[in-house]
This record gives sequence, C-alpha cells and structure tokens, in this order.
Amino acid sequence: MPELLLLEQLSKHFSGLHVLREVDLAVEAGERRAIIGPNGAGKTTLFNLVSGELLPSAGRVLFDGQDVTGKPPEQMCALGLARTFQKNNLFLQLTAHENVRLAVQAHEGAARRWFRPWDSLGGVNARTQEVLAAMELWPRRDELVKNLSYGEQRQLEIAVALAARPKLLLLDEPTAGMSPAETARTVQMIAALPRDLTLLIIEHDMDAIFALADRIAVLNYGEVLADGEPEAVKADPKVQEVYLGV
Amino acid sequence: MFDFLFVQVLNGVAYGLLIFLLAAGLTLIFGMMDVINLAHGSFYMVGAYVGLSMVRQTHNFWLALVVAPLIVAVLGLVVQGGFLRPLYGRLQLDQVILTFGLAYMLADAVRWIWGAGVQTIDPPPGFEGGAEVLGNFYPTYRLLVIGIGMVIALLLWLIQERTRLGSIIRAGVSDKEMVGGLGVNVGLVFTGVFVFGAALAAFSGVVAGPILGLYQGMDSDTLIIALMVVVVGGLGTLTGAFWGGLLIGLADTFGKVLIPEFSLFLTFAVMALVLLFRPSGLLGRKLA
Amino acid sequence: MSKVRLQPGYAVALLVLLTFPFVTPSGYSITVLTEILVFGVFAMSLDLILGYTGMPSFGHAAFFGLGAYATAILSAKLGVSNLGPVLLVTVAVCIVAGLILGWLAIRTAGVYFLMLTLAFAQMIFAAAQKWTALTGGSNGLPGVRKPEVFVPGLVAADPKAFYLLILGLFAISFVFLHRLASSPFGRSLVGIRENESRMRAIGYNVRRYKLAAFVIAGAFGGVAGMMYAFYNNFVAPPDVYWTASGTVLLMVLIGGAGTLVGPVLGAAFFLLVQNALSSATPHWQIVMGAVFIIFILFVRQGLVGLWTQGWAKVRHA
Repeated sequence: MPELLLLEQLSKHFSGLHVLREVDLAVEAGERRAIIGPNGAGKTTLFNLVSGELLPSAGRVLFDGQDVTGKPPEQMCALGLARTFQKNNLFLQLTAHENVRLAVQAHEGAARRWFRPWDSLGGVNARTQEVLAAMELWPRRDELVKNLSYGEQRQLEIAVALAARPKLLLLDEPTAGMSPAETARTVQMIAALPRDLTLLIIEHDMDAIFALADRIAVLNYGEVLADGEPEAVKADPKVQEVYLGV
Repeated sequence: MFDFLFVQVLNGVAYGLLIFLLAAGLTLIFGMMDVINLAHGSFYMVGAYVGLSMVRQTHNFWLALVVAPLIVAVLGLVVQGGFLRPLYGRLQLDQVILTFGLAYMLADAVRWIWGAGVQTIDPPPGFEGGAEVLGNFYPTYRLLVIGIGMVIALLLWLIQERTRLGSIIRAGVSDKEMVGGLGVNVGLVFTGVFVFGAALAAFSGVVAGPILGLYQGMDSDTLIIALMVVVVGGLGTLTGAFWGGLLIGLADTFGKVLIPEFSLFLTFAVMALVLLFRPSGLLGRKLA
Repeated sequence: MSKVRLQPGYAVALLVLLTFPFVTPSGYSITVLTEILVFGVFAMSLDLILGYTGMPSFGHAAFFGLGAYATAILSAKLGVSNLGPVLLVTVAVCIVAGLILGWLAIRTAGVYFLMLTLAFAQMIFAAAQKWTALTGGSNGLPGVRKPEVFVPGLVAADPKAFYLLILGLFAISFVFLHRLASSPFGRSLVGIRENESRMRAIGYNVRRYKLAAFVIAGAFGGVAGMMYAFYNNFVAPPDVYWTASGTVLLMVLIGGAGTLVGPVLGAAFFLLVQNALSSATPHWQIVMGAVFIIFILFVRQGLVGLWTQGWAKVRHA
C-alpha cells in the first residue's frame, strides 16, 4: 500500500533544545494512525513540521510522493493536508457558518471573487452545509463561535479542517478537555468519517485511541519509542515503563 | 576644515544627547508596556512651555528644570492611570491610538494657554555667550547641554546596571510575565516607568528650549525624531537610545550641512530599512 | 456583520445628496459637504486595510499625498486638468507605490507595521518638502484648476457642478468598495484580521491578500487626494504629514472601523465638528480628541456601533 505521509529522520531543535530527534514515521493511505506520548514529547511540534507551521532542523517530509519539507501551511493545504489545533484556533468573532465557509471558499477557489456577494455562491453554501451537518453543528451555524460551548468549538475545529476535502487530516488532541459524553460523541464522529480519509491523531485518551487507531506510534523526548499495532504497543515493556505507568 | 568638523561634531553631539533624553522615556515605555506613546512629543512640548513660563516668572532656569518635569510627571500619572490602564486587556494598538487622541488634545491645550507664536527660553545666566574651545568660539549653552546630557546618561546607566530597580526594569523589558511571577507589582512598575519617561521628556523640553525653540507642531516633529532614535537604537534599550541618539544627532547635523535636500528623506529611509531588516534595532537584542 | 447587499437606504441617501445643492441656499454648506465626500473616500480607503484586514497603517496620507500632488503637478504645472488623464496617472502612481511599499510593509505586523508605514509616509513628506522644483517645496503648489470632466471645455467650475462631480466619484468609490467588502474576497480579509494563522492553515496565501488590499486602499486613497487637490486648489506638505494619517485614522475609528459606512460618518462628524466649533472656539481639537478618547474607551465600534447598539435596545424593549 502506498505511503501518503513519510517522515524521514525528522528533527527539530530550538537553540540547543532537541524537541524531535530523527523521527521516522510512515502513514499509509486510508490508515488511521495515532501518536501518543507524555506531555512535551514533541507531538504537536511534529504536526507543526508536517503542516508547515515550523521548519525542520533536519530530515524530510514526503506527502503523496512529493517532498514537501518546509512548504508553508497554505501550500500544504492546497496539496490536501488539513489539521486541527490543540488549543482552539477558530475565528471567535465570526459565526460557525462563516468559520467553515472561509475554509470552503478557499478550497473551491472562490476566495478571490470580489464582485459577487459572499453568500451567493451555491457550491460554497452547499459544501458548508454538508460539513456543518456532518459535525452536528448545522443548528448552531449562526452562533458566534465565542458563544459556543467548548465541546462545540472542538467539533468546529474538525469541521473547518474537513471543509477542504483533505487527503490527510491531522487531529491534535480532538477530545482534549471534553467530558466523557462529549468524548464518546466526538470519537463516534471521527470513526464515522469516510475511510478514504487518512487520519493522523494525537491523543491522550486511551479509549479513544484503541477505538480508532490501526497503528500507534509512541513518542518520548522527541524519539519514536515504539510503533505498531495497538496490542503490540500496549504490551511493549518500554512503553509501559514510560507512559502507561504499568 | 578641522574647525568646521569640530563645530559640527559638537553640534551633533549636543543634539544627539538631547534626543537621547527625549527618546529614553519612549524606549522604556515601549520596552515595558509594548505601547508606542504617541503623546511623548506632547510631554516634551508641555515641559518646554511650563519651563518657559517658569523662567519668565522666576528668572530661574534651574528651578524650571526641576519643576517642569514634576508637573509633567503628574500629567503622566493621570494619563497612565486614567486612560491607559483601563485598556490593559485590549490590543496594544488601541493604547497607541489612544495616545494619539491625547496628543491631539494636548497640542490644542498648549495653544490655548500659551498661544501659537514661536517662542524661546532664555539660557540661564552665564551661559548666554560663547567660549573658546580648541580655537573655536562655541556657544556655552550647548556645552552645558552636552554636560547635562552626559550626566543624565551616566545616572541612568548607573540606575540600570547597579540598582535593584534597574534590574527589575531590564527584566521587565525582557519578560514582564516572569517579573510579575517573581512578586513584583508590575502595575506599579509600569506606572513608574511611564511617569518617569514623561518627566524625562519634559526635562529635555526645557533643556532644548533655548536651542530648538517652542512652536506649534513641535510635538509632532519631536515625536518623529524620538521614534527614529528608538527604532534605530533598539526598542526597549537605554544604551540603544544613547548610541542611536548620538548617531542620529550627528547624521542629522552633518546631513543638514552637507546634503540639505536629501537628509530628511534619508533619515526616514534609514528608519524604514532598520524596521524592515533589523527590527530589534542596530543595538537591540534580537527579538525572540 | 455588515449588510451584504446595498440597502435601499443608500439609494435614498444618494437622492438626498443629489438634490441637496438645489434645495439649500448656502454655498458654504455645499463646500462643507463636498469636503466631507472627499474625506469620506479617504476614510473608506483606509478602512479597507485598517478595519477589514486589521492592518494598522499610520501612513495612509502617503497615498493621499501622491494623488494630491500628482493632480497638482498635472494641473497647476503642466496645465492638464482633464479628469481622464489625471485619474489615470493618479491611480497608476498609487498602484505602483502601493505594490512597492505594500510588499515591503507586509513583511512586518502590528506596531512595527504601524511605524514602517509612518516612516514611508514621512519619506514622501520629505520629498514633498524638499523637492522644490517638482512639488514647490514648503510653499506647496497653488493654482490647481477645477477639473475638465472628460469632454474638453466641460469644466466643473461652478460649486454645484463640482459638488455633483465629487458626489459621483464618491458614489462610484462607495459602490465599488462595498461590493469588494461584501464579496468572498472581502470576507477573506476579515478572516485574516480575525485569525491570520488559521487562514494560512486553511489555504490562504495571506501575504497576497494583504498586498491586494493595500494596493486597492492606496489607489482609492490617491483618488481621494486627487479629489482634494481639485477641491482645495492648493496642495502643501502638511497634507502628507504624519498627523494627516492620524486624522484619517481618527475618522475611521470614530465612525466605526470595518463598516465602510462608519468611516464616512466619521469624516462627516470630524469635519462638521471642526467647522461648527471653529467658528465658536479655536479649541475644537480638544473636543475632537476627547470624543475620540471616549469612543476608544467606551464605544469601540464607533458611531455605527452606537447605532446598532441603539437598535438592539429598541428591539429588546
């Protein structure tokens, strides 16, 4: 099976502080991959290197066969990559509808249109509705994001990322800060995503991981400690010692 | 040739130290509070006019030099407490814009009280004339300005490097959250820095009075120069303000004499270049 | 959110403005209204980058000055007062300047962008002040004639005719900018203001959008400058001084940033207060400054904000 995302010896250091060391990771098309590890292990940094928010100090990122190392976020998005953020990174003063719509209009190439009213683009409106409905946010579409509940905001995070029909979706702790009920619902929604959408998920919630992931990579102090099927990783003594506290 | 150079260098140094005094407050205010105080030129102006009145009333230049900064310090206190503090949570841009509104008001207030005509402060007795320096006749007042400037610069340096207050301020410029976390009352330090900066601007206004004069629009002219010094020297650093001031003082003096048509344009071009390619200033630390 | 389509209210307002000079006997009020329209365009142009895109430019007087001086040089020095070539030259000059200055300025943000735009505008001020052969130096350029409206000989010399010409230019600018602001492009600018990093993550080349906004704003700023030169018949360095950038910023914020209509109201407010008060007292600036500060502190959304808040209260009552 072809690899959609390949990280080769990816490293990142900030003035002497090594955050990621020679990370090798492969994500196959259609796969659901999880990355776990203690806080500070470098998981979000890894996402930032892949999505283009940060430049790697060494190593390569290959996406869909192309070397995309160092490409900025807007180009990565155009290539089919989308991500959510660990801390909600939404347009707080705009409506839920507009949050998604901005992402949709960019993807549909409509963002540059300057003469027609923004709400008159049928294709954009349809896709926006589709995405909001999929994340069960359509009834809340006219609410300002700052007035949405935290759980709804987390869901909107995913909706905004989905809007551009990505090939690969990076989910950074999608259930962070959620109640058990909200977590279960979110996990359900993620599980219900089309199987041709490849997922790379950072998570702390073990139940969510084991429900969703095909393969798990464990990161510790910027290095890959273990990588494989959930049961194998669970049983790995190194992982148990460092992370699962068994 | 030497005479010409010598006189111009002295002019440049005097002017440079003057704008250092002016810029010192502005750079500290930005360093600590991330606010560009667009009313800084107004503090300079009010100080100069208050000094003018005092000298007229009391014929005592030295008294004016002490009292004018104190009065403007109170003004600074009112500005900081009444207008800037309520904006703390907001975008720093709002604070900058607010200081512009204040400058607007202060310019008019000054015109109301003192009128719009061009004025000048008489130099203190004993400094009205010139003296022979290395074969050149040079105004003694400018020598006084150089003296005062160096003394204040030294004092500020001592405070910054050798006192606890100085280290708090240096730390605060670097990282104010950290300083707050260490138990220092950040709000108090902010107020203190702002008030001190205002007082220093007023002080430089009185000192500059006999040389640069007082006129309508002096606040906006002066603010631009202060901004330039702060940008070139580095936002938030007193040493930067010092060397930046000298640099610009000399460049401006020689520029006006050698290439009068271009010097104004060039000074702003330099400011733009620094902002583009070395925003931490020629002497500032690299921004994180 | 601003209304998407042009409201019928605007048509009514246009009708009122059209008939105004024929209904009022006062030549002075026509002059004031003309000036309001000129600065209305200036303020709207700044709103595009300041209000909509969130770029705090403190140097917008640069474009105003370029437009004003281009017009003055063409009209007073070269004898070309025909609206066609003057408009073309003004827009061309401002687009080029906008591309160069914008490309450089957009590399910075926030306070640094503010200071950089200020420095750029001061460079233009310095040129206006010192390049005496071209700009008349500190004396400025008097003798700008009233414009020929495309057809040679058709000069808008009569105050009423000139007013109508300015109204026409204003209306066209307003409609264009309104369409722009209500378009997907306009909403993209708002997105950039609200969360620049997320815009990048969802695929926007933010720099390009900012540059486009900057250039368009500059072009309309220049058009306002052109209108001003024709209105005032005289252009001088103070028109480009940094405080002029501050004044237009004041107008945008008092009126309500990011609303397009707000800045026009802000310009009207500013000029009316200036005119009304300056005959009573020379200290109208204290009032203006105080009003501005009150707005910044308590009514950040400006006059438009007051209006919408007022409506909300009425609806809930």
